[in-house]
Amino acid sequence: MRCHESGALQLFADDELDAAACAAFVAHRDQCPHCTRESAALRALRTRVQAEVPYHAMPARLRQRLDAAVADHGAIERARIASHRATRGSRWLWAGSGALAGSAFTVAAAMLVMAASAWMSNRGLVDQVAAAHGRSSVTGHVVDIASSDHHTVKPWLSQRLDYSPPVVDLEDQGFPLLGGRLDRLDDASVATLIYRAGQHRVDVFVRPLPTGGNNFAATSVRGYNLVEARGRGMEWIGVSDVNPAQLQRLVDLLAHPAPHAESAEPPFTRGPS
Amino acid sequence: MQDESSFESQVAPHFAAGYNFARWMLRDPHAAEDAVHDAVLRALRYYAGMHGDNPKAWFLAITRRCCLDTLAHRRHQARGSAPEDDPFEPDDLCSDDAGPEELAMRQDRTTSLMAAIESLPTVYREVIVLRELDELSYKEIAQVAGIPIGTVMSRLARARLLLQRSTLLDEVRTPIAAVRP
Repeated sequence: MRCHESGALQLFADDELDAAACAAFVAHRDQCPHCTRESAALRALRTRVQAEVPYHAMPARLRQRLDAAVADHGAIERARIASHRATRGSRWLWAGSGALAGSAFTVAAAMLVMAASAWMSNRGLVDQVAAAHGRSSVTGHVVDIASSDHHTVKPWLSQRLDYSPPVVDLEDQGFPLLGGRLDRLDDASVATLIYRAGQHRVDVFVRPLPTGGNNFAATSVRGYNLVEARGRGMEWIGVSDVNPAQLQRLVDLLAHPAPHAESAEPPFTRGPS
Repeated sequence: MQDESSFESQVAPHFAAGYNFARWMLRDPHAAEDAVHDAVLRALRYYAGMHGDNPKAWFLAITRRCCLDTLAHRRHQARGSAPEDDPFEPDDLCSDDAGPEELAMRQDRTTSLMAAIESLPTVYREVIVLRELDELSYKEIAQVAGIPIGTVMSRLARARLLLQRSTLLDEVRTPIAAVRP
């Protein structure tokens, strides 16, 4: 073996030789002062690098940022798949006419457009909610009417909307009511109820159930968690930096109140829209 | 269509390796965070098209691309000239891209092996980090860096030679060589 050219020395150090080549190299090395010396130096270098050179640990904030990116992407994918399912019926119609026209491209393009538009509208809502929540924090315009009394907040909101949102204080469950506010979602005025969850503020957007919209999965946008629930004829969208489980609990309590809470708040009836 | 749960199980476990790699490539914690974030966004976008059975190498290859973009951008800003297609050439083979401040800072740390690796040109630094810190095989390194296995070998050999030549390492080589004359 011509040791200066073989490269076997390095291959050996890196465990890249098969058993036969390994044995051949070892046999050679033991005869060759040059390879013995170089082999030891290489091993020493590898040992030192592995002992002294740090493996940079990922900061926790980056981990959170990456997890949020993955969760965000997952929510988009789920919404897209859901809307695909919803439009499957009409897709076959397209497929039929497309096959007749002999244009597979038309089908693909139409499916893409349908999926994209359903996805965009959901996406738009999520962004609007996150933006409204963020904006109120930045401007300090958190509540239009500050009160922990639902008998004050509810009439105030009802006067300014074409529907009357159910309002309850959930202090007993750990979510004191802070007040109410008006926001706009999808170009319509909506009621926003503001609750406190521990040290966090939660905005809950309440509006009559949109016709034909699909539920969006819990997601997170720009560091805020968003959850949705439907009940009492309303869509409830909670947004906060509180953890998603607590947020979901609050929104579920609002959408599906326990029977005793229901007696305090008469069932909602939707006015003409 | 792959669902994202498999992205989470296949690719997410390698985010930490991506960060370590980016940190060594860019020598700047903040730039490394941004590069990895960028890499994750790209990986999410292209995951359905991932081929090969090695998600770690696949993700590191994307991370590497993001790092090279950052390096090219840095160089572009430093020079005020148009970015080059290959951010390695020609400087990285003979010099490196550190500014005077970073060079001065590095001189304070010349005693450490870490500093020796940090001052390697990018093409050598990346193979050393992938081999020694992530213990990737030649084949995997070739996949990450998009180079033939022969090039992996020659760059690794060159990188190790450069490290051994750094003054401190010369001091430790002597006693080791003396063990078996």
